[in-house]
Amino acid sequence: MKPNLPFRFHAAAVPLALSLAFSSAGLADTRFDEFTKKYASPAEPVKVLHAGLLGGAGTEWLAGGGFQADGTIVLAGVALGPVLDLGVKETVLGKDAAITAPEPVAKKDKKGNPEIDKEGKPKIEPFGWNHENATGFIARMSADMKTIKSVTRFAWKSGGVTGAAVDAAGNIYLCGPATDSIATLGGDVQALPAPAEDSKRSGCTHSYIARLTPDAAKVVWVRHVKGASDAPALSLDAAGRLNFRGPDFRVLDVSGKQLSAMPIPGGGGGFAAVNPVDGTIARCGEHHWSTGREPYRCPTLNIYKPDGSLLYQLYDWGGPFVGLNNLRLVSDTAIRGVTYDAQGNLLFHAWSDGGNSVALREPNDIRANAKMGGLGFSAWGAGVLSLAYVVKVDTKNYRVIGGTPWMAYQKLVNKPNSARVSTLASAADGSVCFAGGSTNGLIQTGNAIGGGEPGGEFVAVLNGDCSALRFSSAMPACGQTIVDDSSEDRARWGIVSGKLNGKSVALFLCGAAEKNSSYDTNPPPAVNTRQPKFGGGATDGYALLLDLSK
Amino acid sequence: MKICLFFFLIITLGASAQQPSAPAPAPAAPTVPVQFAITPAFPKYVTADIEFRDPTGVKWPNFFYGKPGVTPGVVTLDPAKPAASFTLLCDKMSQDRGDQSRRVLGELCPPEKPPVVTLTITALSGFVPASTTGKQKTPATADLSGTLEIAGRKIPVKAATTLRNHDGRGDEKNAALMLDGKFALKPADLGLKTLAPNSGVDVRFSVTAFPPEAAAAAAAKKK
Repeated sequence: MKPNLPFRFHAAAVPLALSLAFSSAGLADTRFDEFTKKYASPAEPVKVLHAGLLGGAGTEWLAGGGFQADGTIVLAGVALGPVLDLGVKETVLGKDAAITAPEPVAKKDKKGNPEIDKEGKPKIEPFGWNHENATGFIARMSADMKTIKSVTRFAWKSGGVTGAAVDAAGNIYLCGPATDSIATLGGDVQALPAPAEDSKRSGCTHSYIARLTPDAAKVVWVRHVKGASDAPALSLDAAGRLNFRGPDFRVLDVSGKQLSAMPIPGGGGGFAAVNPVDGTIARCGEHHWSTGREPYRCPTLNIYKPDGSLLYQLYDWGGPFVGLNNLRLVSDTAIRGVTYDAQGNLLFHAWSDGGNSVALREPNDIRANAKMGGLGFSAWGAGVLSLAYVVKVDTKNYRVIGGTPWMAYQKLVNKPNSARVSTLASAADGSVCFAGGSTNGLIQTGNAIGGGEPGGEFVAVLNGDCSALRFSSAMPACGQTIVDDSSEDRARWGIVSGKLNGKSVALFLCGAAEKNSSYDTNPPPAVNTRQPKFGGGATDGYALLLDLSK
Repeated sequence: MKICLFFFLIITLGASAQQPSAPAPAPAAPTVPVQFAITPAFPKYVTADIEFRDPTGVKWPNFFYGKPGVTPGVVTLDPAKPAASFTLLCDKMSQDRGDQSRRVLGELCPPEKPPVVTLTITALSGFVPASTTGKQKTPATADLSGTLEIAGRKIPVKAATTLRNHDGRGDEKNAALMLDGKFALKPADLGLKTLAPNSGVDVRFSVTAFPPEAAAAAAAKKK
């Protein structure tokens, strides 16, 4: 006979009570605690050389750049006016058009109603690369970023900047959206033939690519082309040629001679990059399958030959197949941005709405777990949320050689929290750099510089196989403009890497507001900064320079 | 203070979950169906797949999927008279676009024109019922014999197969029998010329079978 106790304990109550009590008492670590502790002293830390603003009284942001052999750092950005005024007399290329301060535009929901923030104020659309005022500028900085060597601005409203590169000789290449005023910049100006096919893209209707002298004082040549285009992009390939993506793909030599042109494989939508080693083209996106038991969104990653014909179809096994009882990888998944490293390895970032994602499998073998152990982040306990993945694929056999899921973790409950990646790039030393946005619970390294809440815009650096977190930091007030649309999540950062005085470095570039408006009210992080306070307008340019050799 | 909170929560939550003191009757052992149907009519979602794999991992695998064939299939797990007869008609291949030469069946798969793969099972032998007692619960196993048809070839096969009962809880909401079979072929069996003759091709198939009344119940529920 059982004793007649005043209370009978329900078996399920004990673990619940234990969980709540330990959590409340601070006795049980969540994964936020665990990983924050783990990365307090990162194994391969980077060193923050500089973090700070570069802006005048108007609205501006930084989008790209490069490094010159004498240690000069080239920063390229967009000014929306009505002035730039970085404190150094600026060289103006071309004929200025009249310009007024850009008007803020209220953000609207799908029904067209204004969106309101928590304080009841209307939300404002971030300014973006294709704003009608968009005007490119270049600031050449000393290696310590303390001195502005020169400032060059395009004529107001002649063309913005969405891509930049610097070659070994120090020549500066820019690309972006254009207006007819682009022809006034100087140098050898040529209109390239319009694309053979309408690309069905919508960001802009006129693009340019230009070469400037190493001192940025003069334009050597300008090539421009009309046709609907996403944010124009450029890269230098292993042979020193320029790959220009505007309304289509074009290859130019450094003298501005067009060598080839072809439609972007796969038609409109999606995101594409050119392999600098062999000229193959990767294009990513998502394939929507009829709803039912299977995932609706399935990732696509197609590899095209340099002539534009399809080479390999990766992921995209088909929603009905992925939904099989013996797979059940039912989380909606999409690949949202793609790029290559200098060795021709493919890098992409993906999104899923849960942890059962095909992003964790090999691109050509859904039953094989990919090398995605990375940082040890796991999604167990997740509800519906946004998870990100950073993946590096060897293009010799299209197997994953490194990768990791990326997410935040709730602080008080042992569950994942949402994070997204909007910009991804490979660094000169093979490190993997990315930036994006996180909910509260971002895992930061001990060398983080945000100083406030672990959420909002962030930047991160992984080692080459994505198994070590070298740097992760919330970046309050940063990432406030749309730098380009190389990602489904509209990139708010430009990432540039190269050698600076013999050391591998990475630059994270964006537009920053005076102070943060989410999670905390911190100003943009400042380390060894030249500019003591916010310059004015909606945003200033912002640069974070990391020494990857440390 | 925190420790007090710990004990308070245990006592409070325990008390709130207080149950009647009468002992609950022992739960009845669930009835495991012995006969399962395999038809294209139920369920609507895909339940059948066949994959081909290079055991060395050099060639990429081929994944085919589809539905059971129109002739009704049946699997009987009666230990006294186990039986199986069904057809899998896998007429779709994943990643069927682009260059197929890196895949194990690449020679048989022109881009966007993959072959239809049919597996017809006609006999079951060597049946070992599921062990449901003790710490080690193991699914039933059997050898399923039949014919694999692909690219004009008919290849007799014998597949070591597990037959796993599913109780209808969780993601698959129907009681079900999940079959997972494996067999190996030689490249010559499939007419493959680019693989070394002494290499192999591993084949795996799966299909989910359901109690015959499941389809009727699902149809009635829909009405």
